[in-house]
Amino acid sequence: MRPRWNLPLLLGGGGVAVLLLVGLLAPWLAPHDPMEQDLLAQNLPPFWSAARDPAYLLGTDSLGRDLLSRLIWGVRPALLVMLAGTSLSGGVGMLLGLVAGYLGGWADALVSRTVEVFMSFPPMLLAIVLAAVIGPGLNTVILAVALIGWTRFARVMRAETLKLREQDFVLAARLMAVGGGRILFGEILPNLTPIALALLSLEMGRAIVVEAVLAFIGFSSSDIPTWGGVVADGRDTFNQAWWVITSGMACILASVLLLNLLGDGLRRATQRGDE
Amino acid sequence: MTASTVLRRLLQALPTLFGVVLIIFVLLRVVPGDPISMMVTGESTPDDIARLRRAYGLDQPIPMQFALYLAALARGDFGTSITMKQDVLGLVLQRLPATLELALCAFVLATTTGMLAGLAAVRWRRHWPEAAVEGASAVALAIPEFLWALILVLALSVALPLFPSSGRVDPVVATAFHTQFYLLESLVTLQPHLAAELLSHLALPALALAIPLAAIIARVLRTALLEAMRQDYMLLAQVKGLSPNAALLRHALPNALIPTVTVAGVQVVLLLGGTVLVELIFAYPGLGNMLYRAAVNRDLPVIQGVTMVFSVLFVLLNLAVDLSYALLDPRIRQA
Amino acid sequence: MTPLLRVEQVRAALPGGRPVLRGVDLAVAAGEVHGLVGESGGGKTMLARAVAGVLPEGVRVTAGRIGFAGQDVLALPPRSRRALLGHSIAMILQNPSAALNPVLRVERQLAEVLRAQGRSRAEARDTALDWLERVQIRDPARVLGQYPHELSGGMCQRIVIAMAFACQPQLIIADEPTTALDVTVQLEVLRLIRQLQRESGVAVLFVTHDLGVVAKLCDRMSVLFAGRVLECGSVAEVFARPAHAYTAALLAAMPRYDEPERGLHPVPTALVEQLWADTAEADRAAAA
Ligand SMILES: Nc1ncnc2c1ncn2[C@@H]1O[C@H](COP(=O)(O)OP(=O)(O)O)[C@@H](O)[C@H]1O
Ligand SMILES: [Mg+2]
Repeated sequence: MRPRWNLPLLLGGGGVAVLLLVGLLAPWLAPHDPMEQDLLAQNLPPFWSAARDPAYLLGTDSLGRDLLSRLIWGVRPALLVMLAGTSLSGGVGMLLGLVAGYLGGWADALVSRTVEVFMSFPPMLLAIVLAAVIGPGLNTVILAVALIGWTRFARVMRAETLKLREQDFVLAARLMAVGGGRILFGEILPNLTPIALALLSLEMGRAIVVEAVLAFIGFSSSDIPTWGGVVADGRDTFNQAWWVITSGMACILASVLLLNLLGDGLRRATQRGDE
Repeated sequence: MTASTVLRRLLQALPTLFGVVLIIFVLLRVVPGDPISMMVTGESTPDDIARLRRAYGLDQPIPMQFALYLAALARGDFGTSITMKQDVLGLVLQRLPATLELALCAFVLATTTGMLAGLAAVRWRRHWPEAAVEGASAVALAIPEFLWALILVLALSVALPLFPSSGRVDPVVATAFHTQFYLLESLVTLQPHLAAELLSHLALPALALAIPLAAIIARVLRTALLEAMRQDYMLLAQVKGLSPNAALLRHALPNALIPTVTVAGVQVVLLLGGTVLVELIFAYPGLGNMLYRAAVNRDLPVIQGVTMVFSVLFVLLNLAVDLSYALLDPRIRQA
Repeated sequence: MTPLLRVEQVRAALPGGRPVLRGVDLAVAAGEVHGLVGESGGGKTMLARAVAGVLPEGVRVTAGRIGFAGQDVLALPPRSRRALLGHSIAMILQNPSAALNPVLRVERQLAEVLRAQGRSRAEARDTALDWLERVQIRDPARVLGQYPHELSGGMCQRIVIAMAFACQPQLIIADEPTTALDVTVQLEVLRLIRQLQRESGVAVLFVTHDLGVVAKLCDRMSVLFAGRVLECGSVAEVFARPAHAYTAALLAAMPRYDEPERGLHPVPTALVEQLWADTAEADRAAAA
């Protein structure tokens, strides 16, 4: 007996939708310019404190910048990296995995070997090396997400395709001399959609963390507010303004949890369809 | 398990290492301009540049350059650091012990807590320990490692100043060591106060690294133990009159370790990779920090050196994980 | 004289509350080989495990008394109950390959029993070798160093048998010890159990669904159906004059190689269904 409502899907999907909206509407939602410094309003506490300033709902950081506005604007790079990075890693990884699993032979050997090579770099090392080579910036972060993530897509898709390849409907299609491309995209790919969706949302959560980490260590763009940047700013002033770093961390954690929830929900939803 | 099997697995890793070298080489060529452009200062003449290019073999065709590069690596020549003007291999090897000690501490911490938690969950199943272990591992895995590291710093170093938040050892103390394996040296030479000092610095970064591994070990071990408890050999152990503890430890545990190592082995490799990030957050002077510094300064030879060392460590660690299955499972050992 | 094992009106229920033993009575005298027969699913294994005190999780004895060597074992604290196992009571399981721990050498598994008897490590090894010889294992020194997956099912069962007899218990519960073995091996294992039993004089509760085995091996027998003993008596008596229709049907269903012209007479389905219907009715009456 399953509950009629898929709570993870609703919560995760709803949360991610809200994130998207906040990202799109950031210029209208943010009460202040996120870069504007007010040296007379440094380290102001959030609204529940007695020493609050009503103009700054969540308070300000050590340069007197409005925290709420920085967090709202920080949604944009997070979403951008998440969407662009996982599109790249998912696109490349899934395509290579499909091809490897479907063709087997030398194609499989080549892809599997490449995956192995990429997996013998620590993920953060890849990102740092990339930043060193092409310089910091959002593009670097997106590329890093892609470089780190594509192997997981490739491995899962390869394994799933191998399993599917031997199943009846694919064999039947082969017997009817359906072309390889049609089998791959017409028969196999639709069957992989559920697992691909779940994997994508998990990987999006990871992308958010990679973005935050690279911003934290200063390898993302320094011209725009980022959650990782907020965390880095707040780290040194924790004793004066604990709300800066904690609110940055809360944003990262919340979006990762929402994306994991969405992944769970998607898995559950598609499993139900199978039965 | 014979020496020849180990050798064969090592040889199988060679193509992977070759791929690693190739990727590093390609990444290097992607650099706008080439490595020389980062070495020259404003007053270098075109002649100087040409001389440098020749000295680094950059006037050769690309395949030739790759061959030269491979040959240099094979000689153990990783080049010279641009910023530190020292032999890269020496620099990297000097930093390696710090990272190894961190990873090892994290590993020991994670395996002991993970195993104890998994065993406790099964020994007292359907009671609060099982619920506690399940809940704790779910929370541990839901929070990304990056945030764990920050939470630990804020909670146990800033808010409650129990542990230092950065570094490896007090610089004054560091001069007392003869090797780079500070912790090992302090233990071997029986200097508990030094070991305590080192461990207090290691505590938070090691904990941050250990949390996900411990959670995974606890989870997988619990499932595997419950599976083992359903087997007939556990009934026979009971019938032999063994106490529940003895049956759990002597009969269920050796079986449950096999799937646990299979799943946790991947995570152990991730732990080693995680040192890069954790070293940055805790300003711990290991390879990760060296890499970061090199990346900021675009010191490419050092970046190559650190990358190579990590890849070799990964390959060795994967080998060790594979060998440990064979050690645990006689059915694999004799296959 | 009170029997070694006396089971009185024992009831047991599965996790969902479904009854699995419905008031079993059984008595096994010291030195007796007692056959427990019945169709599969009738609760033979549950009864055997209830006697040993090793019921599966969630299955519990809800009523009755189990007396062993003058003690009421159901009233014993868990620790004392466990102390009987490996000393006074031993068990041989149905599937020998699964009964041995796959990652431990034979020596360790056998020595575990011997060490519990208070033997030293060196003594335990010698005794283990000795026991492997007694269960007719060739090259015992080599087998001691092997793992279960390197041994045949018959070899594994001999080792499990050695473990049981090495405890020098008063009662061995053998739960279908030959069912999982090849026919040729079955006979050897049966002979082995019979021979070791004669030498030691231990009582054996021999669970089986094969009346032929009962005829060869047992002194007395009980017929179990749906968690109740339908009939009990000496093997000769029961075979000659079965008191219950179900026993008679079981006997008639036995393949008789001496009278092949008799053909096969399976237990009539109608009879089994009637018996189950009666059981269900009794369950409902008990629940009401
Ligand atoms: N581990 C168990 N947990 C719950 N029920 C069980 C278990 N093992 C067996 N049963 C149920 O108990 C009943 C009796 O089984 P069992 O004693 O194994 O019969 P037999 O040994 O006579 O074939 C069966 O209906 C079976 O479904
Ligand atoms: Mg049975």
